[in-house]
Amino acid sequence: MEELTYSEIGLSSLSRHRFHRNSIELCNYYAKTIGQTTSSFPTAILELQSPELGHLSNDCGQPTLLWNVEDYAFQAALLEIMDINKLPEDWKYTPQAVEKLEEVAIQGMNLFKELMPETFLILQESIPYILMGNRFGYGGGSISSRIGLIWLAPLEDWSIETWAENIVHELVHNILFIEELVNTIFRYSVQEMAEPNATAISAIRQEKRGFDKSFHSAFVSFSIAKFYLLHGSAEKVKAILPPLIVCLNDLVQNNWVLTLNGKAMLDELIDHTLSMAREINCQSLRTSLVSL
Amino acid sequence: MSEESNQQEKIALGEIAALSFEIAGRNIRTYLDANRPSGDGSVINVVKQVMKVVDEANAELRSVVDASTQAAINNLERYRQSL
Repeated sequence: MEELTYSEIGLSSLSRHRFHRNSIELCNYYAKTIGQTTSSFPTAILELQSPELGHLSNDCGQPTLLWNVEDYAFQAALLEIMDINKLPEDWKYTPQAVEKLEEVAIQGMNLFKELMPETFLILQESIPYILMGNRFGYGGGSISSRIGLIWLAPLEDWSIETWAENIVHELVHNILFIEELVNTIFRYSVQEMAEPNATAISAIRQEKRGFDKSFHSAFVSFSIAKFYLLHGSAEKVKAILPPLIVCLNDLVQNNWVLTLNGKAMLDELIDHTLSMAREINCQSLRTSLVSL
Repeated sequence: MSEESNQQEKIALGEIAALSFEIAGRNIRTYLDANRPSGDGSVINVVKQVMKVVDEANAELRSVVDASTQAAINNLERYRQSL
């Protein structure tokens, strides 16, 4: 395996090297508990968390886009990620919509691969399936109990960039779940981190959320900013940075929630965010950044 | 490096590897137990709203965020210098 400590995102916690280390630990655990050997992260994680999905039909290739899944086990997984008990009436896409959406989706994946080749390899090595399901008002999601699966609810007006951004978004959640799985990030439970004394402003929703969710939002937001920086869309980056900076400042106030590993991850993210802010030299932030 | 110290280093590295394996195994076991698909809200769920919806709902909050950005940068810079 290649020894790459930093990906294009620039954070060691989101690097392929870190993913590989975590993948090896998980495969070791899998061998010890299941009694079979594998070097495939998707095989290990799906058999440990979602064994009902059966054997992988797609291992280490590009994630398979699954539209309108009929299989009960996949539908159950989709419901769980969507955080609902029953699929919406209009959750399926028409064949015409699938054809149109899939064409742009593939271009979005190609753009992701072109701008962030190392990070794209993590996608290939960690996410075997992307489940598609329409839900009004939602763009997709991920859940810690279903690592390796991503839900997307694409709209027909999604551009190539939007597709790439959404895939980057959900991949980062999954990488953080894997980091939590092997090395731990948080010292407290999800419920405890939702208590008012532990909440922080989310970099994405820009509202107070549980610490874990806002922590995730900061890493996602930074990664998307990096994506747009590589894409040459400075205006997008300028819009992303202010809420990210406010979110980081809020997270620091409550960093007692984090393990030493989590604190190191947050500190690294702060350094890189401040560097990025200097790099793009935000007009709106110019005054305050001069002194940094 | 003498053969004996070489041997000791190998033993130390082996012990570190075994400890790392044990810690990772314990972490993974704890995570898998805490993140079962039980629907009791114990898992981290990051269902994402479409940005259009968020934009409308949080226009007011956004102005608050914009106003606090400068103070946040100063705080973060002080925090990093204090470490």
